[in-house]
This record gives sequence, structure tokens and C-alpha cells, in this order.
Amino acid sequence: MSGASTLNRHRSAKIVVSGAFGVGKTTFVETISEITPLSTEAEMTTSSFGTDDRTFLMGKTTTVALDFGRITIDEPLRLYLFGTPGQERFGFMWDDLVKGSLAAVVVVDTRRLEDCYPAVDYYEQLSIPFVVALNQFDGGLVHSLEDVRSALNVVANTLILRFDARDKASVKAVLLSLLKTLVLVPH
Amino acid sequence: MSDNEPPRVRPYVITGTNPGRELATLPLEALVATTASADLRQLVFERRTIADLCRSGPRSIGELASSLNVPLGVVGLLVADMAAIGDVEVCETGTDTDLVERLIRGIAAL
Repeated sequence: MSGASTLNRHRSAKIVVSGAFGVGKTTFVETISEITPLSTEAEMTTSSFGTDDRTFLMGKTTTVALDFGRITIDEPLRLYLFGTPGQERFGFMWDDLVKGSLAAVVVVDTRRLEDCYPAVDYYEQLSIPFVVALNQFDGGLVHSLEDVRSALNVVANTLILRFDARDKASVKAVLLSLLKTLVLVPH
Repeated sequence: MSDNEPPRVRPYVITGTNPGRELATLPLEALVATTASADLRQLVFERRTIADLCRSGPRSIGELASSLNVPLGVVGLLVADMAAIGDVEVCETGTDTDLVERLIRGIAAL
């Protein structure tokens, strides 16, 4: 029997889980994934040219580490959730990884709200639907949702939610809210 | 980004007639399955491992990369080569509204 005999019915998609170091994006994936998150890496090779036309670098390789989890929905459909365990740096490298993502979660620690600005700007520029998910660390939120909305200066209907990355029902609610915005947006 | 940017999620199909190297950038969620016509005895090293792993059911590029402990791009190249000669098939990334609705129902049921 070959795996390909059922492949026609299979579909997959991915959602990227972003956030600064230590905000809980790994916990987010672990909480909802049906498998222990796996690790892999993406290699990006670039050519770049020096400004004086006399120097150039060819084949410079950068490696981005990724962790990802999986949710199997009615067997032929799988959702992968991936993120970078380390510090995020946006730009052309991230483009290749994010392209083709259905949507994004930006996990935020409200005690360091400004850490998420690059991610929010990035997804807004690429028109990738995203949710700002405020992870409730012990002690509750420092800011109200409205304060966060003003501070982020996001587009008016951007989804901003509180959640607890350790709680499955809470993580589910974030994903559901995010996915529901996709159904409303024409694309 | 420009207005004539292609759709965010591009459906694609790899067939034996389209072995272009551009296919090496297979995304981490692309699913790979071994075909009935693949002869595993003729395969060695990573290709053999890929064919074994994908025999009983599809595996994603990401899962293959993790199992093989090689980068995504390397797995992508191997899978593209194997698909070009018909040892594996790669399935389309979904993008339709129906898929999103199925995701919503499925996650709600977790």
C-alpha cells in the first residue's frame, strides 16, 4: 500500500507563531500540538554586493532554527504551527518562511510591549492576518486592552486578545478567533 | 508590497513533467507520500529514509527534515528529485475558504 493512494484528499496549512524571546510562543505551540514540537532549520543563501563594486559576498549562508507542532483535523487536513525559538529578525529570510502561512499569532508579554512592534509592522505590511495575543503571566496584565491598542497603533479592527499559553482552551480560543477573521476577509 | 502580488498561499502540484529546481523551496507543511511504483530497494541513504517514512502515510517536509536532521531546503531538493521520477507525490497546500472552515470546526472540537 502506498501513502500516495490517499494523498489526493490531503491538505495542509501553517500558521506562524511569533514573539520575542521568552514571551511564551514555544509554550503556545506545545500546549496545542498533538506531538511534542519538532525542530528543524532553514538555510538561506544570499549574494550581496559591497557598495563600492569591488567587494562582494557570494553564497553567504544563514540558518534559522524553527520549532513546529501539528494538529491533525479529520486526518486528511493538517495544521502546522511554527515559530523561531530564538530572537526574531524580520526581512527577506523570514519572507520565505512566512510566505504561504494562513495567518500569524504575535505572542506578547505586556511588560515588554514594544518587543512586538517589528512583528506587527511586518505582518501589516505583508497583509498577513494576525492576532496580538497577550500572554497572561502570573500577576495578570499590566495594561488594559485599550491601552495596548493605543500603544500598538494597529489598524482599527486588529484582533487583540488576552490568553494563557499554558491553557489549552485559551490557546484554542486564540486560534479560533484568528481563523474566523479569515472567513470574513475576501481573498 | 505591490498590488499584483500573487495570492498569499500558492497552490502547487509537482508532476514528473515539471522537475524544475524552483520546487526545492517546498514549504514545511507540504505533504509527501511514497507512490506504489517506487522501488525502495533501489533507493539509498536519505531517499530511502524518505520513501520509508512516507510509505504508510504522508509526512510533511518539516517532519522529514526533523527526522533526517537536515535543513528544510535539502529535504525539498531530495523530494523534488524523487517526485520528478515518480517515487513520491507532493500534495497541494490548501488555501480555500472550505479549508479554513474545516480548521475552525476541527480546532473547536479539540
